[in-house]
Amino acid sequence: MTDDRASDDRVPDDRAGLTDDDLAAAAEYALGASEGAERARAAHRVAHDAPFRHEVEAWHAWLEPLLDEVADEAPPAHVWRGVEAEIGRADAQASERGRARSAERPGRRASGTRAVPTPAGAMAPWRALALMGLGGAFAGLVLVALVESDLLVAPGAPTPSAPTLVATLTADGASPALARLDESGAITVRIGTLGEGPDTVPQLWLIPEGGAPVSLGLPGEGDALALPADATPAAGATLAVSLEPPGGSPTGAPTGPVVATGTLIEL
Amino acid sequence: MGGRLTSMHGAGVEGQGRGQDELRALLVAVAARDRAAFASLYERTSAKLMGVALRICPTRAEAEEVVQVAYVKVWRSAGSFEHGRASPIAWMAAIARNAAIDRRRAETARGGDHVPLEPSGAVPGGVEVAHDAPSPEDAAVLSSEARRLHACIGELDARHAAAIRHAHLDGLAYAEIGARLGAPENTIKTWVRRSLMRLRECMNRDRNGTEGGDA
Repeated sequence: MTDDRASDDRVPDDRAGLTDDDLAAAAEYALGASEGAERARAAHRVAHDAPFRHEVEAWHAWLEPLLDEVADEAPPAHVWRGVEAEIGRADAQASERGRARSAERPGRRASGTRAVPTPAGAMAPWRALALMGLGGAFAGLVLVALVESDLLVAPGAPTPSAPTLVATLTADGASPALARLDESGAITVRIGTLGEGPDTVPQLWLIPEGGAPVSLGLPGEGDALALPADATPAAGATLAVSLEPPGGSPTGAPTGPVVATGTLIEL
Repeated sequence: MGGRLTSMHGAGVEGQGRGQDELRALLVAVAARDRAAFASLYERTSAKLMGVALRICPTRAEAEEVVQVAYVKVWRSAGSFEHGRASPIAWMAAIARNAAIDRRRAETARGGDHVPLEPSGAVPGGVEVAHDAPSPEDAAVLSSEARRLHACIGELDARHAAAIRHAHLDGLAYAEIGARLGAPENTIKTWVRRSLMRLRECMNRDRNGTEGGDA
């Protein structure tokens, strides 16, 4: 070992309270070398001990370039069929209901999308997923994905039938948001922690190309946002987060600083 | 873009970032039970996970089973993926690797004697480190993380680095690595543990070293 341990006030502590044995166990587990009871213990710790899990994940990231030394090979089609069969009929039945609903609606497409419109007054059938955070002081990566709720996955063909729009917003690594498709077909967004301050709330906006911002709502921690019917997410539109007074912008347009933005791109 | 170095991440930092962004978005969608996103995720990553399984599993059929098990696990646990911390493809590859290794260890424990010296159907891991390390002309397309890892591995004794690769890429147990490299199991254990700590120090040193001290 070098003398650096004596002067490690220059090096940020990266051990998170883990002992040398913990570090060794995490490293060996991530490598794949641990065996028997040690391996079982480490697997259990990953599930229940966050600092240990984070150390294991740090190793996954460090060793990731070795994956380039593994030759890719597409698995045969039966593997995918096996996956689909195993993840269960419950999901397939949900797909069936969604498919039946979609089939009843006339088609009207925004440019570059396959939006399926709803009868007047109902929610646009978009599913929005977001990892949100704030820019500026909260550096990090956040994604917003908007996915059409067309669940017409062709049987046996592992290709997506719905375009996925993604925007990358600079932000903190917040907990991911989940989308919910409720029985009426309304899509909601649940957005994780955003770290808003005491006098401001984050407000999420969709800004179509050349258009005016449309509020998508105020995502608080764990809140569900319902996408308004006049929100038409499409590739090229911008998603933005601004900091607004409590209750959101009084004017219907962003009034506070815009702390995160990203352009929607189609995956 | 082509060749073994590009894989899922793309050749450059930009490609890497964009590819990982897409996988992150898909994982969020999968957590929300989006079957189309899951199909897309499979399409983008299954060749890599199959490759991982083929390196470790003794038969092709077993590798296929491992891939299926891995994707079911991805479907079920996508909601627990920690976006701020983990890398999507590394997380998924680890799921596949762990499934493959679990099987391999279980078969060895049952006294299976079918564990071959060369994994079936895959690019052989090779005993010599040189076969696996990127060539100098490839180095230009490596990300900074890849360059750092290869530099740190390069600081290790060649046999120790080979042991690391055998453990990680081939899923070999210590005894199997010992048979391959001609050293006792306990020696391999020592090599691997010491090498991991050196790698950790090296990877952290390169991250912090340029910041220097408070003069």
